[in-house]
Amino acid sequence: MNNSFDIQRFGRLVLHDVKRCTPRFGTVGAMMISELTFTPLMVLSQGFLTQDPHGAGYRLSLMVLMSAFISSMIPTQLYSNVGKKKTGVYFAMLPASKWEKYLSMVLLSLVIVPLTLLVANVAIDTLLTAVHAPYYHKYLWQSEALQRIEPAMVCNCALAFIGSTLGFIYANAVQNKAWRNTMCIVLWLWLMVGLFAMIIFEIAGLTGYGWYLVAAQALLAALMGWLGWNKMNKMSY
Amino acid sequence: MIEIKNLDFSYKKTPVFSNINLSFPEGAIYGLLGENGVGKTTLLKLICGLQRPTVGNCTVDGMTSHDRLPEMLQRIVFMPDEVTLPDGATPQQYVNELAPFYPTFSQGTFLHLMQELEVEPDRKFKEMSFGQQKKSLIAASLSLGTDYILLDEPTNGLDIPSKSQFRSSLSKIADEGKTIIISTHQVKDVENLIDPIVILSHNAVLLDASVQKITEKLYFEYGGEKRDDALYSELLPSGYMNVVPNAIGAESQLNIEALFNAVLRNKNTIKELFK
Repeated sequence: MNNSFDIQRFGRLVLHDVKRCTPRFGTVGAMMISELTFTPLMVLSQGFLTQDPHGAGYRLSLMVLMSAFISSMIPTQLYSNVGKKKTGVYFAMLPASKWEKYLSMVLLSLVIVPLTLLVANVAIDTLLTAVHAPYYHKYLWQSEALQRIEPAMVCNCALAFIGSTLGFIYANAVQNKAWRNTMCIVLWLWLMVGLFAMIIFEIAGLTGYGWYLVAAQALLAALMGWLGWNKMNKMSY
Repeated sequence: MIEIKNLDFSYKKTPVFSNINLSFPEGAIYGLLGENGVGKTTLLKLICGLQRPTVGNCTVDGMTSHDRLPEMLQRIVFMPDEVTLPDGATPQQYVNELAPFYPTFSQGTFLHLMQELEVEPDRKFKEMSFGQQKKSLIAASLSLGTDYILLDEPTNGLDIPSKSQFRSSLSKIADEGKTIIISTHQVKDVENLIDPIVILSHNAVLLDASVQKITEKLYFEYGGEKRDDALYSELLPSGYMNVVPNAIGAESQLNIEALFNAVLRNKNTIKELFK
């Protein structure tokens, strides 16, 4: 038996984790529905956000920010019992390697949940544009803002999301210590401020500044990932 | 086989075990007894890898416990004292989640145990009493088919009929060659079930012996006068019960509570007798 990584066992674990989320679907579901309805509500109620020529671009920005905000908090809901002495025993005793368990948490938090949100967001936006809802004049992919997006900005957004989500996995799920949570929230806020700053810079036309930030964000994301894995590897109950 | 070698363990600066050595060969129901706070639960957690020894080693079939390798986890199940179950799920859904990870899981055994313990497999945990939740967890743990079953205070919260059903279920499982370790302070609940018996004290193992060896070394006398040479005496309605060194090799019926008290009060004498 391969005790480090076995693809079949890992598949079973991911499936188990997805199923295991269902008792918590109430909170997670509410978070996801809030995220999905936020952009349409903002757009429909505040027309200034969708004034041409930036209509679809603003919608996209809003979606990305809200998706990142909600997705990075979802691991706290899904895995909040993993690091606790009483409830964590179930997770610790599940016959899968520590590496598989951590990877499953990361996969669910960084890929499965955000991808579900992204697809749902795009589907809702496309539907509203197709039915000519007020202020929905263009499809997302027709947005001129998409063509002006800098690669550095995309990398920064992605890394800010990855770093903050890994930070939340470490602080809330694995570490389960209040001061670490606080530290992580501060860190997360810092990342979000950075993200907002980038969008503002982008809109103001200040480009080409972002690769230093990309490097810093990549380091931070790697640090968060390492902290989470290291703690997961040594966790006692 | 579970082996503990030269193991030290402490919670920060509070020592729990100091240089203990124990082994649990396959196919027996071990009783792990001790006063509150001596480390019974900690020992179970060390065995299944939920805690890491400060010094020394604990292995399950040669695999270091705290590595928690999938191969080891597939062979061992730990049922903690405090039940934490997903409220919205049913026992059947609970085992359905676990079953893919345990090739030895038996749905038939699970349903049979649930029936014996009189719990409905399709009733939600949140609609159950603590005792029913505990019984569901017992049925789930025993039906996984693991070689090693660690039970921490399994009879806590069980009513009297359930306790006898539990004993009968456990005996059947033990007959299949499984190794069961029961940690409890409710010794009456597991009397006639556990053999060998391990008694823990602060930092050390006071006794680790089979029932046969215990009754060879100690004599349990019922209904007599209080004896001066008794390691422990207790007044019962039928007279005194004395625990005395078995100098003549007489046969007697073990009383675990009396043994426990005798061991705690005569640590050095017991060590000498059983060395």
